[in-house]
Amino acid sequence: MRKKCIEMIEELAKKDRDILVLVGDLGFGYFDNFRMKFPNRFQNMGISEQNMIGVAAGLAMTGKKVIIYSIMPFVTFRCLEQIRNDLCIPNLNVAIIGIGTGIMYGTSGSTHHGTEDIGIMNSLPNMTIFSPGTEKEVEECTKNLFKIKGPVYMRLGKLEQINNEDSKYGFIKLYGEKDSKISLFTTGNMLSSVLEVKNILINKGVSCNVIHFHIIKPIKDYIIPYINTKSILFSIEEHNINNGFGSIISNLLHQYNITNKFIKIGIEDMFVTEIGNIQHIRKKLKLTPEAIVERILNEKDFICN
Amino acid sequence: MNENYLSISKELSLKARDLRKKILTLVYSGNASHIGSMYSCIDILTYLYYKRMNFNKSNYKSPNRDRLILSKGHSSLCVYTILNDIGILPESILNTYYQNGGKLMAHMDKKIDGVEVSTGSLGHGLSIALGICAGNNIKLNNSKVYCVLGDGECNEGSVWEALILLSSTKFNNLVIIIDSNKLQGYDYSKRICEPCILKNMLKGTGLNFYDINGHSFKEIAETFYKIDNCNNKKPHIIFANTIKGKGLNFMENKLEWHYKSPNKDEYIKGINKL
Repeated sequence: MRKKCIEMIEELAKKDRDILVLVGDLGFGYFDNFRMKFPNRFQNMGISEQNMIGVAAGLAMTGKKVIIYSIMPFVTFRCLEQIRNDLCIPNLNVAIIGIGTGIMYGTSGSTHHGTEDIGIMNSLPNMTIFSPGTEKEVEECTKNLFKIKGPVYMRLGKLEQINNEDSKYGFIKLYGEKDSKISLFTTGNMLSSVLEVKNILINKGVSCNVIHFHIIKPIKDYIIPYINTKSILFSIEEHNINNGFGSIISNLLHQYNITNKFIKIGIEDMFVTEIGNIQHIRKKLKLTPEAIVERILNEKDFICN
Repeated sequence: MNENYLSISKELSLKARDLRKKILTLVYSGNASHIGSMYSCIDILTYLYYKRMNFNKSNYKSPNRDRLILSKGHSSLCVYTILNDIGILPESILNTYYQNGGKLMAHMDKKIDGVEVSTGSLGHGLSIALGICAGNNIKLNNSKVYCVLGDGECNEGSVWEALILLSSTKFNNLVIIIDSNKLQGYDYSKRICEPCILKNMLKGTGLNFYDINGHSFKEIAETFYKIDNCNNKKPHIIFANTIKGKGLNFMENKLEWHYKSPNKDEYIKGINKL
């Protein structure tokens, strides 16, 4: 996902001389090419995220289009007030790319996990949040980073390849039939797992669709026609369910007075302390396709009604 | 040269006196705080806006203007009063400072013409100033950027993040001015960071460093003469030793005037004294 994103940044930079990249002392093996091609448009800001956001604001005030790239918790939580005051209040064109959604940095421990960012960034007026789930979506989102007025936050994780993908920027993607007994809402790097959930359920004879959001703020509300009044709804995310993607969907359902059964699946309100790779930790968190299927089928009483 | 400094000094002292009066009136009518912090940096700001900066009514939107970033945003009224005096900010707006439904808040607001950056939370301005210098540098625009910080503000780690990066730049068009009134929100600075230690830490960045009396127009002018004739390509730090509440002896060097608004007696006493 990162590789694709950086390739796209290179494409953007070729066309637009105002594009600059700032990184927080990382990018080895990923940005080498960009740095070589555009030495004057790449700056390692050192280990100083607060300063990096402020500098980006100053650059944007002189007409530059700045892309900031770092590990998610560092470039969101560490410098939250700079993002709020220096980028969001003046509504400046700065793009923040946070690497490591959910538990992508599994072995690094809780300090490196990105499991609270959606709620925090969703609280900021003027902020747009991209959460692509496929390479095509990464491409589409990156192309559009500066077509929007104001700051954009793009969260990137690792993902498995999804083939024959025709996502279009700005359109919620529906996988499966509109009229299904179960609708699974998801975002970002959970998409491939959730598609697997869908296939398992369909094989078991339960009709199911997946609705994927690559933009989660502002949230689009044309999901409404996708919702069958008899279906049961789930949100699935690798994020704290207290204030995450599911909460955004829940607000939306409430706003439209949709009273279907709705269940949030994700990380309970806790820090993930299990050590291991994504697959290992997802097993512990019951976020593997099999575990999610089990969880959903436990709700089958509702489905039969 | 000395005669020149003398006449500058006289002219600016009168200007700063008028601005202090205006500030006192607006603080009094708005029941506002922070007059002590305003009086410690008003002389510096008077020098910058009236003698130094390429910034006026006709060019304040031009990309080539000099920019002032008041990182200690709670002294905003100094800038608002000056913007009014130089014809950018109408009196009718100035008079709404601190008023319900007014246009001017206690801190710097970019929505106001002539204000470069919204500040208020401390430790933000220097990074933004650095970014503006970097942006200007790419465009071969060598207009000047001035960033005024409080010495209390230098408690913020973000200031040092910016200084660390600045030590590797060649932005000699950036002048950082530390308004060192040695009195912060709830203590004398020495109880948190001894001013001479702060001074040494700032010197240690390797930037050009000037230690001056921030109320002496002569010293301020001499410093800028040195800056203009400086051959190296490093940013500049002016460590301006100032007095909180400078101008009214009953306010000078007193913690309470970080917060207090003058009552009627204090207001009349102050206006007469100025």
